[in-house]
Formats: sequence, structure tokens, C-alpha cells
Amino acid sequence: MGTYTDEELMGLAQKQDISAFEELFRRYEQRIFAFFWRLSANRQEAEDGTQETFLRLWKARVRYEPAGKFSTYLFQIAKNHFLHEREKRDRRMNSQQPSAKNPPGASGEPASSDRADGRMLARERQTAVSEAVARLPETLRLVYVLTEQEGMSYKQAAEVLDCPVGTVSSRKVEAVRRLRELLQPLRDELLHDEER
Amino acid sequence: MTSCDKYQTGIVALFDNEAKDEDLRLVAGHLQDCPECRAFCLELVGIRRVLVSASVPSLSPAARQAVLDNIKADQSDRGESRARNCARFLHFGGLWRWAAVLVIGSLSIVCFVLGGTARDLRLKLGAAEQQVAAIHEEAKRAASEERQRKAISALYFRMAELEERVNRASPSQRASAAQGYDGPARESNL
Repeated sequence: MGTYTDEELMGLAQKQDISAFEELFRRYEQRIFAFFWRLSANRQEAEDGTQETFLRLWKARVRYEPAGKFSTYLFQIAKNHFLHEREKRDRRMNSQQPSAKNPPGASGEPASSDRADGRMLARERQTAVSEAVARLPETLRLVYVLTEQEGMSYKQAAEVLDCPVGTVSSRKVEAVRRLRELLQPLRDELLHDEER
Repeated sequence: MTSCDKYQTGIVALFDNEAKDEDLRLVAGHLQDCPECRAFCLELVGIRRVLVSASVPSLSPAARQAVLDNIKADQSDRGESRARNCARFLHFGGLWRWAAVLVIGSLSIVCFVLGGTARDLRLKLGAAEQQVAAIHEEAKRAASEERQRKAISALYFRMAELEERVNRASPSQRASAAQGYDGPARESNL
């Protein structure tokens, strides 16, 4: 199974070959989990998103046509699930708590600079940056995670998000600007760390 | 849009390997003179470094197993539902089979009855055609007899006429006629 391309494996999965699908799952499980993790900064949401994405892929395998890259197709499913879940959650929150706007764990407090332990400091910085990414608006966050953290080109990200390449470019710049604003309290540390 | 905006767009594209050569030259020239954009660059590098160093946890074995179990369950569900559909089809197929037998039987009876009727009608038609042909034949024979009777009557009438003419003629003429009998001429007169 290791020598097959993703598209070939998907073709086998279309013929009910579950081992081919398991191979695809092994290849992409971590990337999809990381994608959801970076979008939500929440383990449970990331695991649920991963499960749902692969289940949807399994159910949609009959309709799959190897026109583009398989990874693009898979990330499209993941993105659609993410947006669908967000929409559901927003609707629920609007009906229950109209005033609750900040996501949980998004305090944005900078890491305490008086901690002696460097590793602890670095971890807190990572948490702060991850939380800042998670606080970006969904459209900007998706572009940022796909291009910055998944390493996709603007063209591939545009295919996943079903929008023009120029939109990806402008959203990416906007995401970076918003991120700088959110990480303003950490600015000195980021710059200082870079200069060191 | 501030004057640095387009350069910062170029810087972001540069970081993502999406910049063109002219963007690169433009940004490089600008960075030498703009401390704000240099700081922007350094911040981008700092954020990226933090994100790269941030470890992403792995999918837990339980979640991994759950994904595979869900897929297998979905497959077996589909298998069962296919079997159910098949059974349902066969069940309905049985009903349909009985219905088909009933319809075919009814049609056969109707065809048999209609076939018998058609056969009778065909025989009757044949007999009627024979009767008509016989009547035609009879009519033709009657017409022919009538024609013959008329011809004979006309012949008798003509003979009577000739005899009368012969009787009216003088005895001398009758004798000469008897001496110089000319058969064909007489026949032509006839």
C-alpha cells in the first residue's frame, strides 16, 4: 500500500478496500488533526473534527474524482466541516448568551516575564501565539493556518477555500496585521528573541 | 492605505515564496530605509519561529481507533442495509411475481376465449364467402340460360318469318326457287 499514490488509494477505497482507506488515514491523520488543532486550539474539537472529516471522506468516496490533488480535496472537507461547526456553535451561542463573544481561553494575556524557567517561558509564548491565531476571524484564520502552518501555496489554499488567489493574498496580509495587534504585548519578546 | 502597506504585502508574499522578482527588489530597497517594515519583518520571523517550535499533540490512540471503528461500522451498516434492501426487493419481488402470474393467467384466458370466437367467426366468414360464390355462380348460369333461351326464341321467330315469306311467294317462283336452290344464298338471307 505504501507505494500507491493518494489518488490510487482513493480509487481502491471506492471499491470498498478498507485497508487502502486506512493507509490514507495513516498518511493524513496528523495533518488533519494539526489543522483542526491550530484552528481551534482545543484537543476535543480537533479530535472530533478529524473523526468527522475522515468519516465524510469515507462516505463521499464514491463521488470522488481525481481531478486535483487529493490533499486539496481532503482539506476542503475539513474546512467545510470546520465552518459548519462554527456556524452551528455561533447560532447556539447567539440563542443562549448573546453577550459572550470571546472564545474560551482567549484572554490574550502575555506570558509572565518574571519566570525564570526559559522553557516555561517559551511554552507560554507558544500558547499565547496559538491563542492569538485562534482569535482571528475564521476567514483570516483559515488562510493563515493553510498557508503558514500547512505550508500550502496561495493557489492550493485558494482551491481549498474556493476563492481567488488574490483574496488569499489579501487575507493573509490582513491576518498577519491582526496577529501583530493581538500579540502587541509580546512584541518586545518576539523582537528581542529574534535579535538574540 | 499607508505608504508601507504595499511593501508589507510584498514582505508577506516574500515570506510565503509567492513574491515576484520585482517585488523582491522593491521590498529589499524599501527595507533599508524603513525601520517600521524592518520591525514588521522581525515580528513575522518571531511569530513564525514560535509557531514552528510549537508542538502539536498527536491524535490519541482512542480517537484513531474511533475513526477506524466508525468507518468499519459504516461499511457494515451499508452492507446490512444493502442486504435489507435485497430482502425487501425479494419480498416485493415475490408479490410482483404472484401479480405477474395472475395477470398472465387472466390474459391467457381472455386470449383463449377471444381466439375461439375469432376461429368461429373465421369459419362463418368462410361459409358465407362460399355461399356468396355459389349464388354468383347460380346467377351467372341463369343469365347464360336466359341468353340461350332468347337466342332460340329469336331463331324460331326468324324461321317462322321466312316460312311465311316463302308461302306468300307465287308457285312459279317457288318452283324456280326449288330448281335453282342456292343453299348459301338462302343461308345469307336467313
